[in-house]
Amino acid sequence: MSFVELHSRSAFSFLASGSQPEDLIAGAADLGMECIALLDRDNVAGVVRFHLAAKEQGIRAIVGSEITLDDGSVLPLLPLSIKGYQNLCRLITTIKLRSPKGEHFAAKEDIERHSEDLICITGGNDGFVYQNVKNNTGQEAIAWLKYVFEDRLYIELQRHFLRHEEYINQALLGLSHKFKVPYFASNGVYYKDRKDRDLFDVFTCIKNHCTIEEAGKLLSENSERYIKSERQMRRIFEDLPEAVEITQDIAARVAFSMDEIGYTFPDYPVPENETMDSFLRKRSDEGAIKRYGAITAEAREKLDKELALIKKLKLAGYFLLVWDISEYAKKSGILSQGRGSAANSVVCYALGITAVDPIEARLLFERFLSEERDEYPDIDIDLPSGDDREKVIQYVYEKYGARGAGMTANVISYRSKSAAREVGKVFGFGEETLSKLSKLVSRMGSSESTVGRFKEAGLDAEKSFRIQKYIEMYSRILDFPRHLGQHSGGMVISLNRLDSAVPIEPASMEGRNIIQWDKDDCAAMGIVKVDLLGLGMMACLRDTFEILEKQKGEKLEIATIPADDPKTYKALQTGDTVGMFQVESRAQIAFLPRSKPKDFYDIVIQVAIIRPGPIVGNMLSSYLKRREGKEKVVYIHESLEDVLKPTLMRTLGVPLFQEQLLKIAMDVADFTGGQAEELRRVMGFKRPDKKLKLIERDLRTGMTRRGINKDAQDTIVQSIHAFSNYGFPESHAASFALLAYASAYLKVHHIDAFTASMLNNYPLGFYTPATLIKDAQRHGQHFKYIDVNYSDYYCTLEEIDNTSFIRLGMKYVKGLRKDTGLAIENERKNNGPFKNIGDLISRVEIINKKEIRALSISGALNFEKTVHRRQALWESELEIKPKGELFKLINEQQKDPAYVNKMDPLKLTETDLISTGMTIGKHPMAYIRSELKQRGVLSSIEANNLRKGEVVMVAGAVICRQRPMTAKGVLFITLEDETGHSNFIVLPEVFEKYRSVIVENSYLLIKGKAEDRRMVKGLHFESVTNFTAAPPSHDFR
Amino acid sequence: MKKFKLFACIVSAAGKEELISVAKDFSAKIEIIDGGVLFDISGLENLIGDQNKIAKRISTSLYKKNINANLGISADAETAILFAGNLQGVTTDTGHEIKQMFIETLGLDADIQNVFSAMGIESIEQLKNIPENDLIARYGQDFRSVIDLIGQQGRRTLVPNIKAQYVEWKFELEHSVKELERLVFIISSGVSEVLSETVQHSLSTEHMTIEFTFESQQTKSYEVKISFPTIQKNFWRKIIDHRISQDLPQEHITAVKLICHFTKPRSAQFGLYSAAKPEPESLHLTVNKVKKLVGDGNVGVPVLLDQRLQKPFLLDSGLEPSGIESNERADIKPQIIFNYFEPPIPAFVWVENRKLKYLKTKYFEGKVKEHGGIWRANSHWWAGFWSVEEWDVEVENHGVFRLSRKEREWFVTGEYD
Repeated sequence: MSFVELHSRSAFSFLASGSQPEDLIAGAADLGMECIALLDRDNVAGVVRFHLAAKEQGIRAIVGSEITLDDGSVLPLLPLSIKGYQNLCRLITTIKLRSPKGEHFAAKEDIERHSEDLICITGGNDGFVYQNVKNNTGQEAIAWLKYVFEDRLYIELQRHFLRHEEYINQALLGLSHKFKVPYFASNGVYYKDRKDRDLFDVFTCIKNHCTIEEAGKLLSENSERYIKSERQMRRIFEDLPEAVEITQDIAARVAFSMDEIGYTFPDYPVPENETMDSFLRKRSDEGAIKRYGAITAEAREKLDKELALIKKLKLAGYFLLVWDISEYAKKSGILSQGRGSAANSVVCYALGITAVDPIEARLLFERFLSEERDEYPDIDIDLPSGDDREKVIQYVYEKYGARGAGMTANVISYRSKSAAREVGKVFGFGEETLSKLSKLVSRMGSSESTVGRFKEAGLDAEKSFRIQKYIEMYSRILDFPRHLGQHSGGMVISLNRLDSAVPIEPASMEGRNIIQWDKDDCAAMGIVKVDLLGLGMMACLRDTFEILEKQKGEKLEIATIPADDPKTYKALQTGDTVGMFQVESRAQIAFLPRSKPKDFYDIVIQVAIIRPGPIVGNMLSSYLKRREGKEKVVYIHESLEDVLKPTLMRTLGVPLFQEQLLKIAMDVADFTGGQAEELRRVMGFKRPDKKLKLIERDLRTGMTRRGINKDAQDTIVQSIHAFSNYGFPESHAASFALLAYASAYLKVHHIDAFTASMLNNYPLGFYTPATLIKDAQRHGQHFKYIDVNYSDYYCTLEEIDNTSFIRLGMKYVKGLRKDTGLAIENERKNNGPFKNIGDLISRVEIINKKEIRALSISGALNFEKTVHRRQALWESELEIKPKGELFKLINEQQKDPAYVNKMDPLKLTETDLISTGMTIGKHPMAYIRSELKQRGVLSSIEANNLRKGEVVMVAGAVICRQRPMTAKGVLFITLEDETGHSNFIVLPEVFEKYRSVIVENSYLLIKGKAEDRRMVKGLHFESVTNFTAAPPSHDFR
Repeated sequence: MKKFKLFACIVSAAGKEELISVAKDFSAKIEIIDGGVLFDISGLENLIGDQNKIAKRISTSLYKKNINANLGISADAETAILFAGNLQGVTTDTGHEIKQMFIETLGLDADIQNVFSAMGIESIEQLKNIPENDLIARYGQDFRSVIDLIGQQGRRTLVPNIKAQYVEWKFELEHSVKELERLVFIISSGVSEVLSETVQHSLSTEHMTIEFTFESQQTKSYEVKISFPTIQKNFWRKIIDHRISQDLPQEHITAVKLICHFTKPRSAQFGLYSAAKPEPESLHLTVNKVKKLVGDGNVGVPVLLDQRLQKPFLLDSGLEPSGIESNERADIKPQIIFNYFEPPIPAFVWVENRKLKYLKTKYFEGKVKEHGGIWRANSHWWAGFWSVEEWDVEVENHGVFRLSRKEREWFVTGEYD
């Protein structure tokens, strides 16, 4: 007979435990326990991890939850069966959905209504019974629980070597005898090891917003709430051995396992005389005719093959549901496009879910769906971010009900910045130190020594034990969950009530509910997720098409954008790609002039290759050399050229896409699609396991059968191993490449509409509006200032003398609410332009003092240049005061006072940057250009035409500081001036030397040596101007 | 005719007491302000000279006391505060200094400050150039205080806010004296003086300090505390005389100083309907008698600490029992009283099969009839970790005790009553 810990709590009780679910399992496994239970507070968010970790360790995981009652105490519940689990999930959902976030509790009626097949244990010192015993109402409490749970009630005895606990235990034993309720022993586990108690205390302080010194009696009395062995528990309950023995009986009674949650994807309603399969076939055929004109033999064959597999796997409902969402989007005029592996499917293409033709792009269906794969396929739909995406999400809620659909959760964990700050608060650090620490850790490379960097900030662990503990706690708290957030787009839908599988709770965002599991949990539990992702670029494309149609009468959509446009390719080949989807980053811009994409597939490669994997795997360099003809194209092994050439030819023998890996396995070892997909997945696991050995054995067997020699086999296995870490889905790259090409085309041919749309949909992409505007200006685009008599809330186009201007929108006036901006726009459109500030204030009631000031400073109240900004501001100050006869008189006297001076151009630029975050005037660097020239400092355009080895000085506004994980501590800096961008690399030792100059200045003068790829190696750094305002920089993201 | 005023302001991170001591050298009217002191130095120009000379004198005083501070002097109290709060070192008011100051120093509302920044108005001089009416029209009459401040027309007056805790009297002898008898009249006069001043404050005293300065410049102090407040001169004279005679000074005395500490006022106890309470004086006497017996540090009031500490309470020997009975009804539940033994009593414990069998101390010994435990407590892992293990034991024919173990040594830490 062995002891089972029936009451433990994990970090998913949020700030109430010192261990992760996986750690608890590891602890139980170390002690040789056969079984352990997890009961987190009002949630089951950690149970999937707990269950999976237990499976891996060969332990049985019991899951349950502690339910908060109306008196603040908790009632721990464990499901006996699937019914009990469903009741538990519904109970949590009920109490969570009816109350504002964080204020939920269960009333007695809720417990009574959901008690079936649930075991109730009485809990520890925060338990309902414990609290009642303390208040001398223990008998009433037990009587009620006995009435509700009958023989499913157990009294829990906990002993943590605390004097006061024993008094309650004796009372509980009395109740046990009186009410004939069995009792059992538990340690009320809060953490795996004794040492985790420290972290638990830190969480207690964070939860109670106090320092460790102030926490006083909120802290634990001792470190006894760790997982104890059977031997320890037997010794502690020496006088009550039966309390330990019964735990296994209770565990045996709790027969429910997470493997049986019984999730079913909903059926799609089809007309009479139709099955879901027949309906799907009809829709696919109709779609294919639309797509291809007539269904070709190849398309027919692929469609039949896919539909047969869909039928076999009973997935027609899933495809129809995604089709339905996609159709809804189309009918509502919402741009949508499937991405991910779904783009490998002809059915998805025919249904209009995806936009890339998998036949033409030669994409491999098996990457998307295979018989052997024990999980639902993944269909992601990109939607324009913002209102359009919300419409689609609300459509799904409406269709499947609040308890039938939910967004997947995103477990918000402690990251370096939040950890440094919150642990710092616990240790009583002041605001100044906290800010310093936050900055320090956010700029700290992963390879840097934490202790060393903290020492630089004045926190020397060697000198103070307290600081040593701080650093230890900071490191240990990292990755601990803090709360549940909302996933960016994953929606889960269920045929039965979704809250029978997993509890649903309200998200912070109004109108949204989330389930308590994240996307990985859902995948592990076989729950289908449809990703409805918001993509800023989709919204940008939608708006560009709309502007083109409305203002220029030109109807364009993604599908009708001319392919192979030479100007578009020229822009791509020269790296002139600021603002273009996926190809605008600093690294892409550096790579494009070398790779020189010539066709659509080159863009597909371009999207996939600038990723950490290929860069680290040296694939990028190999591909480039082969493309430039500097390296011979080989297909993994010379003896296999005939077999592998068709698969790897398009990527010049460099395996780049996951689909290629699948195809290689299918070609060299006769793997089925499913086997090949399994190979890809297993190879990608971080920790090799038994499966890897088995599948590698099958691979080699297959290759031997095909007569491939050992040497070639080794090369292939090695190459697949290396490749599995960085492979990117070709289908996904193709979907993105389509958007990349569309954005490139629009930027090249319709920069006005495209830039306006980008500005309207910001935040999106890599660059800030300030940089986008400067880039557009360098391409000849003209802009007009924000003006209440011309500007809408969003940016618009104005045609003046056959020149297209972008009129900046009031969206960019810092401090102006959206409602106010829209009210100004509507009032002007309905009742004509505003005469003056007074007129504006009287006609737009919701405008407030701060907004008037913000508009004045941004230059939006200059009224045809009748006043300048300072005059407008000074007048605003008068206008926003209450009106009366006396003030009118003063008003008359104050026209154009002498002390109100016009801003000089530099001040104007500075004010633009402060009040709107951008300027359409001169670039700040232009003001000091002549001075820089005298010093021999080059402009960006000059710096991009250097010979290798030349020593130069370049100055500019910093618009990007990046230290990619793949770059081994190397920092990349991009400077911007009036002529363009210049790029710099800074080696780690140089960065260390100039760290504060580089990090703390917005304008830099860099002395360096020219490298290839328009890159200068930075050697010396100094601050170059004392402008108080600078364009925002994309830093360390 | 408006009386000419002059104010000095010292702003420093140094302690308030130090700043007050400097200010007291120059003025009797002192106001403690945020971060420093403001004091009225009107009239000093007649004694010392112009603002610069006064500033120099105050700076020297600060320097001597090793105080690093900013000093501002102006005829306007707010200007003096503005100078000391924002300008480094010593600033006297010639009319130019304030003009050069940035408007950020005025502590304006952040929105208004932003407006001025955007208007390009950075210095007080620029702000002064804007007509008053224009400012009032925009920011209302509340802005008048700012206009007055920058125009150095501040309406602020100095409000002395130092509450005296004592009165002091000092007498320097023309010739040094060794015999105490010769000082009796001097001390007597000093006592009369300080007690009269105490009465002027409507207070009484139960504590006086007598300090003699010797020829060697060394000093000797005598503290005289009685158990009840009184202002009877004869009583104080006698008791001071008695105190000094117990420990006569051995050197020639050159100066005498008397400090009369005020007694904190308290409500009178006598009244027809007042509940009888112990006299504070008797309580005080009792406590002092006990202190005599067991030592000063071993008597005090237990203060319960709301912390996870090895000892849950602290004995505050600076406190005395209030003698006030609680009106709250005692909890009707039976209470267990626990008496702490301080220091804990070392013990020998016989253990068999993890059971405590016998306990022996130098005061008692006996068979352990029952025991509860181990009780474990530990905390302060972040600084000075502590950990204790305890048992509750019933010793045959003796009682129930608390036993603790520290590094293999046993102690009886208290007894349950």
